[in-house]
Amino acid sequence: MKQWGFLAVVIMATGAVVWGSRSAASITSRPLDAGDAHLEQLDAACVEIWLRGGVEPVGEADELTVLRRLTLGLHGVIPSLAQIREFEADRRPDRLRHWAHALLEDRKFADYFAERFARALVDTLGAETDLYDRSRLVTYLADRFDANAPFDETARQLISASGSPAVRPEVNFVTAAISEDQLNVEMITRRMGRAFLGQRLDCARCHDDPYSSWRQDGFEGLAGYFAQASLEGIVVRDDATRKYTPTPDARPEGETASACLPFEPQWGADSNSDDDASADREQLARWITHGENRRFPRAIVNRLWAIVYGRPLSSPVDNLPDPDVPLVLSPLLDVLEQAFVASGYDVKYVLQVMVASRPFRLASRYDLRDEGEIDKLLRHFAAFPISRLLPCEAFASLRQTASVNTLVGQVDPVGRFLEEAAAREYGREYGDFGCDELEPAPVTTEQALLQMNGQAIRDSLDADTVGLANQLAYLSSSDERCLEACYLVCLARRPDRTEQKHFLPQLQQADSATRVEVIADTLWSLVNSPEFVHNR
Amino acid sequence: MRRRPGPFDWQQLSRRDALRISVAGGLSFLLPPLGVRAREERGTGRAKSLILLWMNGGQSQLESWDPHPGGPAGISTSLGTISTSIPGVEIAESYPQMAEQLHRVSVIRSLVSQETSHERGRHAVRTGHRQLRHVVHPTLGAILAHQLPTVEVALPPYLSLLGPPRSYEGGHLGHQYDAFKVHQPGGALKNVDAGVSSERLARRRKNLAVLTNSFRRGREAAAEVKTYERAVDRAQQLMDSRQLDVFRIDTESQATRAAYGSHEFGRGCLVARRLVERGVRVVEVSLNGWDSHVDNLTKQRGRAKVLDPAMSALIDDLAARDLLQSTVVLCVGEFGRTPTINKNEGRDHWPHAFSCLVGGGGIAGGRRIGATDPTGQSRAPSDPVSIPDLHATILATLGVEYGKRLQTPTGRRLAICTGSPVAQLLAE
Repeated sequence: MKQWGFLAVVIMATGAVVWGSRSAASITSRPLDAGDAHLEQLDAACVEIWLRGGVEPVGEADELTVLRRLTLGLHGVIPSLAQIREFEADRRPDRLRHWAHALLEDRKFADYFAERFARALVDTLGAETDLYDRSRLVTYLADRFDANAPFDETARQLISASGSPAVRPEVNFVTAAISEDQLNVEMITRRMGRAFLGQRLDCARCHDDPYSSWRQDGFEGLAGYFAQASLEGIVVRDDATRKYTPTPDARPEGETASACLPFEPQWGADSNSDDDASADREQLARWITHGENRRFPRAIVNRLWAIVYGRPLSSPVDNLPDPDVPLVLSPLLDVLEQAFVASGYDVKYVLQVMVASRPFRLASRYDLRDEGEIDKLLRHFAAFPISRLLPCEAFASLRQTASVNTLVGQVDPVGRFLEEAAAREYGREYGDFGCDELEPAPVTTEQALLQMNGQAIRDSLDADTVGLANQLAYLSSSDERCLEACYLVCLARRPDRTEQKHFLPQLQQADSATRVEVIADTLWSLVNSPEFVHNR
Repeated sequence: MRRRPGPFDWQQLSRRDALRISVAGGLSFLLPPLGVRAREERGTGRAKSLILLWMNGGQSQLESWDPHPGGPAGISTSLGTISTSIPGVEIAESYPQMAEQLHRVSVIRSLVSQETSHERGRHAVRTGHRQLRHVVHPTLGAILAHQLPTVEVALPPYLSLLGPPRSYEGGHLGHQYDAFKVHQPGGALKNVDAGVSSERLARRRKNLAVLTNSFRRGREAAAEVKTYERAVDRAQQLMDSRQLDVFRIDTESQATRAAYGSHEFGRGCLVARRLVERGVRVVEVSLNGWDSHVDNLTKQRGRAKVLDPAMSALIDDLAARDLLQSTVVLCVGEFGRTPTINKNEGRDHWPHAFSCLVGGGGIAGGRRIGATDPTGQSRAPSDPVSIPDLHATILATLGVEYGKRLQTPTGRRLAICTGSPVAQLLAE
């Protein structure tokens, strides 16, 4: 395969030009109407499940807290001081709704969601082949999100992708599963199942899944579609005669399986042709995204909800029960599923519905002590669930604390390269959980050490550099304003009285030689507080 | 063939021999300093520890501890073999230094698992249980950290050197039993230096306490808050620890460092020795690169060049310091590799009969357990040792009631281990 490496690199380098000429279908994105029907249905469904569950929702969070949730949920970073000032100066009624739309129209949204979806599709692990370029796949996804392309179309392009990964970046979804110069059919089938059907098909690889309706022959039928694909030189091509060979542990040696839809085969029909559809990956793509296949929209809205709320409606995010199995939160899933399908698989619209709904506006504090009661409250989304920032969010937020202005990212290639390298190093040290990032995982000692003393915080807050501490030391009109700015930059809120009583004397007693250090220490404490490292 | 020591061969003089000679000659000050705990308690009187050398990807038994010289073509290794310090036991010629040390450990050639995938194989060998959907079992290290009395050291009880970043060793015992990960062993521990004066550090900590209290209000019972506070507390304890020098090997002699090898795995093994010397209960050191589906021979031989000096130096060093009697050393991966060579000159995954080395801590050394079919026709080895049996042997040796049931957070009561100790390994 080595001889193909050079050719692949050359084509990768020129492929962007070809891809740049492709256009994507898009849905016009508008701010959500105040009386949006799906939003009303979602809020009504929330009230219904709270009543049925016997839980009383907590009060509403303040607007700055919700703004912080919005920038974290849609851009993966805390708001800047400049954004907070601009938000507070915004006098429009229901300004949060307008801000949500504006954040979605920013390219940062597309880049952030592309990375989050790429984790589900191909994980974060490195390539085993020159024919896989993860960054091209992420750029493809970002372009699709930016254009608000219908997500069912994106899914179809990914599932049926063939050709050169350099010319068609979606093919990188397929080449990501190349292992030892061969397509790992089971890997890509499992990834497809988790990302687009919200189903873990792992068990069904070897036996009928005792916990779901997935049977072993169902897995093998799906794998049969991907078994047709293989590498021919530097392109992915399909050959209908190729079949899936289960591992010897799963079936007697020599047995093979053909491409076969596990149920409702009519969903795979090609509406543009009178002929029977051939059993190829395009048929599989049609079947998965068919309007009646409820697993697809439910899988996607469950993941979207998990990204903006920090936890999915149905956990784990990639293993939903069969659509007809009733869950506590089924009414919410049902409404969002309908909203997604009815809008033409409009990601930005569904996200606006989610962040405008009541659960997103609820506080994350409660008066309960009993763990069972608290668990019940959170299971019903009757309080906003606090969740730990992911490494990429923690790094981006640390970087943001270095400035009062909104960071737009490095423009020059060298700066971008260095910044990406710093982010990767931070992620490596922090422990990046890749496709498992939504699984609950507590903060570890190593992560606390990294947050307290690592290079990222030194870069952001070092008092010896012309950083934020210096800016605040010389530009703030008073100690109170200085402390307030520290809090707004790091926590998007103002200090309460207890905190003022603790921090202000430090500033007041500092002389000109120690003032920057006191501010730097205040900033250090704020970014190491549990409040900074959680979405709350 | 193994080089036999002559009547007085300095190169073959073990550290233990050197210890005896130097003590007898009043020259003990020339020896490397022993840790406080090692000085206080030696040999079997010490609290026991485990060092797990994890062969990530699956070491080939045929190119290491079970070579089958002269077997059929396509099965037998094309590597030569050497005799060892266990009479009648030969191993692959890539391990000349381990051949000298083999009598201090035992060779199991009949380890049996049921898992052919890396993920499930790792889970099975590291936890002693098959992977289940609704229960995450703790690793052997986490069980030991949970079950053994804490030794008073300002260091984590369970560390993983060079291990995978994505791992939850604590399983149902909770994340407080996850291993502390060190990615670059040998140098100063990263991120423990606050880089500010003690006055500023004290101010930062007071500030942090105020902010933590603020965040806790109304969230007192939230698990996320508790675990964050615990992590910060532990991080601060570690920053304050006076034992952080244990991670730095620059105080070791050049000869010692050279013996372990000038690669990160060797440095990891040396740090592991220093850690158990200070009383740390469990240290894992991982060596990647064993997954030899393609060009098996080159890959296995390359890894042996790293493993052989590091492991032999570790065993020798532990023995010289009277730490081997209190430290179990286990060298194992998630499975072995197929007896047959595939079309890419590689060997694939083979959990049906593979090898490991285990010894120290009271486990009998110099034994060979089990045998595999030299023709590769029969999967089943003689005297099979299951993974749970291996775990039970180690747990029993370390004084853990291995059959005890522990309650999971969901209320299930699960046995720590379902195996039985291997009698041949317990008998002295």
